Amino acid sequence: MIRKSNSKLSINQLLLIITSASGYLFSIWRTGSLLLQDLTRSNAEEFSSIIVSFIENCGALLLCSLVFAAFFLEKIKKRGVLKKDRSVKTKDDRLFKLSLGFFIVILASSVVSIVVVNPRGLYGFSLFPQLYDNIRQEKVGYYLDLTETPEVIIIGTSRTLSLSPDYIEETLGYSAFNFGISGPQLDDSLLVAKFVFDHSDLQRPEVIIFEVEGLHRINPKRTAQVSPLQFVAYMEAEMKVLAVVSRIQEIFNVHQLSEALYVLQAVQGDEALSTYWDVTPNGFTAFKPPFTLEEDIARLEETGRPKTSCKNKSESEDYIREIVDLAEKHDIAIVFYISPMHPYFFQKYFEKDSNYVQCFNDVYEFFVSLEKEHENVFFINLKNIESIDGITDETGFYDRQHLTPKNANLLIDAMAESIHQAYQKAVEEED
Amino acid sequence: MQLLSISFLIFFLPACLVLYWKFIKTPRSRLWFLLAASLLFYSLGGIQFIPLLLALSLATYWLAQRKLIWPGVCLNLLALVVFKYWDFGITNLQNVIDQFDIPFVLPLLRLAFPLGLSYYVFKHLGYLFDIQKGRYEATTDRLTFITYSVFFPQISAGPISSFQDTGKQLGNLPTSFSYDMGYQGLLHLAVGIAKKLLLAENIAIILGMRIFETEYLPDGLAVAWVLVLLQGFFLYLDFSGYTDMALGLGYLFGVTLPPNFDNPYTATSPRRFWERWHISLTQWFRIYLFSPLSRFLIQRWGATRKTIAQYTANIVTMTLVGLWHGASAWFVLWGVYHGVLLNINAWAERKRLRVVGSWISQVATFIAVMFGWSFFFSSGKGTFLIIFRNLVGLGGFGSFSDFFAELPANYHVMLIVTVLVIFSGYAEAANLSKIKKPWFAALVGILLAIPLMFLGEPSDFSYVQF
Repeated sequence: MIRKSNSKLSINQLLLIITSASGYLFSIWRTGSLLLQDLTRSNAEEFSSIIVSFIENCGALLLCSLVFAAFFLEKIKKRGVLKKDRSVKTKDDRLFKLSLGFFIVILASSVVSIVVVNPRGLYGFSLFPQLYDNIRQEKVGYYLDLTETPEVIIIGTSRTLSLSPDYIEETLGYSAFNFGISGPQLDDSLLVAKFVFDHSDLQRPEVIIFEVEGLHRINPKRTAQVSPLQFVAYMEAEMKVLAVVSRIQEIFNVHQLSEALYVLQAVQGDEALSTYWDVTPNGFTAFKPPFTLEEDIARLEETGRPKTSCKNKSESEDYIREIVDLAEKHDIAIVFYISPMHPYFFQKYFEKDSNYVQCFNDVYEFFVSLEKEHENVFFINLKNIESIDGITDETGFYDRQHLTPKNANLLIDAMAESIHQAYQKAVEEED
Repeated sequence: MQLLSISFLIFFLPACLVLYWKFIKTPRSRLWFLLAASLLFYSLGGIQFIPLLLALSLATYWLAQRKLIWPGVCLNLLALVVFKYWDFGITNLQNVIDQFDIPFVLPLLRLAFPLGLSYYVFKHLGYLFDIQKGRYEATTDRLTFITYSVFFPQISAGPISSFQDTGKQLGNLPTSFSYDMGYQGLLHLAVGIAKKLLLAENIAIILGMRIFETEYLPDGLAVAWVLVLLQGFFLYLDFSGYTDMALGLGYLFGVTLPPNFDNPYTATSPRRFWERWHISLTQWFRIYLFSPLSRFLIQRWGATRKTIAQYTANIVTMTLVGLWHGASAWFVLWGVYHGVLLNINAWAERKRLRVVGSWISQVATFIAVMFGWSFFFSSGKGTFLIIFRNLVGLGGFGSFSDFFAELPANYHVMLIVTVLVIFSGYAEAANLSKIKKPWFAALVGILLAIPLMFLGEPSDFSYVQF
């Protein structure tokens, strides 16, 4: 079925060969020139992109080389240049073993580099500095390092990062730990809560401050991908599979390999890797928002109005109920709160997005009824900025929703009474 | 389950191979194992269609044994019509009804399409016709037939092999591992995965560039032809990459599947093109439709009208080849277009024109085939007309500058390599299999490893949807 090539080269064929050879040599030069750049001056993203392109081009050129090799070997054979095959006939088992051996060695080297360097902090340990801070992993590490379980633990999204445990201790007199993490969904927070409940065997916390959004957000796939390995034990079976599969898929991610190479060259050059989060041992995190307030406003102006929907309503309510039941079981009180929003955005969301208002009202009603149903549940709606003295000062927001430490302290002041009540309730339950 | 996924390539396949060759000793138990593995593979992609697959397979086996050929044919075609063509036909019929203002709404089924239905139905039909023609006896080995029907390397997108070939091999599986076949398997897998992940996927990214969106497509021949060339390259690399993988998987389990491609873009005539493109489908249509139809027409119209009979058979066959690809008028038009090309080819051969087989014919065939992809990839009349107008030069020559301005720098090498590989005449894994040198084998191993690093997310092949 496969066409036999002619044994003689015509002028046309010769011209084609010369053109092909030029294209092939140009491709080799282009690929090689990628590595001739001063990679040590590139940042992580540039370095990664260059290495990925290099590996990809090498693969394509290797395919091309095999094709050309087959072409020429067959031509040479047909033209009788190789009169006699002097080599001993290669045994098939040798060819198979060589192929398989090289395949395994190359793939294993890549996998080992990724797992050992662990540039994204996905594999539960860190022999090398991580390129992308895994805030979940860092907080888990700090939490496990605590010698005593704190009395108050904060769980929630990036909006909680600037809530200071030190300030809580100073003003309310309770030891605290901030377990807030960036970009979590509700299922993510549930895992944090389960982890905290499970690790409170020596001295349980009395109060959990749990930040909830005005919307219901669940994303098991993403949660499974980003959660630390320590959280896998608390996942549902389906999410466990997703967590394992996503980590295995990442082992074969050429981008992660290039990041591992970047870390290795940075470590070798004693170069400090830039860190995104600056987490202190009590969990307080100096927040660096990706967009400034002005950029955030410009984006909202451009898109017209926020796009929101109340997806996963019943599932998220189930998650919340599960957290409440667990807290009740452990005699822990929970203070749920909805974080304030910058006045400009608050106005825009509530004026222009009827969906958002509907979702928000649903969430509000749910928590009000939850507070009535459970004695260990406290709920504060701080969405309306008017409810906190001084927080309307626009300089107290990094962007549309993230508070500066100054406003974060005002938020703690606003929650103080509820935290005290919750603490008392938890102590009563314990007695 | 998708062939190009970590779960298949890193877990499913190695586990199956170890069990198959190390722990299962007899050919019969290996056949049982292949059936179980195939059903598991299929069910991981959509367990709801397993009953349909098994029912059609068992019914075909049972009806063929009793020489009930036409009920078997009707049953298989019924499945194809219900799942693939019903909604297309009904929608068109409804349009006609609406033209006459008749207040009648025909029901649409809106059924999901079972993976590989077109492929296994065609295997069943081929088997039934072979039995009818007495090419071989209906098998009495139910296990072999069902395994042939569901054999996982070829169930997603072929090749469509005959029972005489693949079924017989499955009935006589090798007793021990053949290193030669093992090496062929690795080589085919390496070339197939590299074609798909390193070349086709990157061409798909280029095709996603803004310049190729209909509303931004600049006037002129230049970019329109770049578009159809890239579409043609993508389809070939994607499908031949899949085929190389399927053949490689077959080799690893000791089964030789028929080739589906033989450097089609270097063909010197439309007829030669179809001898090299989707070979198993072309052969199927030639054996079971074109030849009987030609004979029938010659009988009806007489030997003097032999030429007309051939032309008619060409058009009918190619229209159905187009329709096989999907329920869309554009696929049908693409088929008709190729029918016309084949007729021009037949006419030129009959007239013994000197150009046939020359490099001029080769270039003309390539351009004609590429032009044909504008039907194949068309999503609507408006899109087609914009591209057609530019392809035939009604929009002027235009310029390549817009294309190169938008093309990221790192894609230049990919494009050059794509062209070199496709036009080398050695683009199929089978072309490389004759080289038995240790250094070559080592490079094959490296080639197999590199694309796997790009397999972050599972990737699908275009022809799986057909």
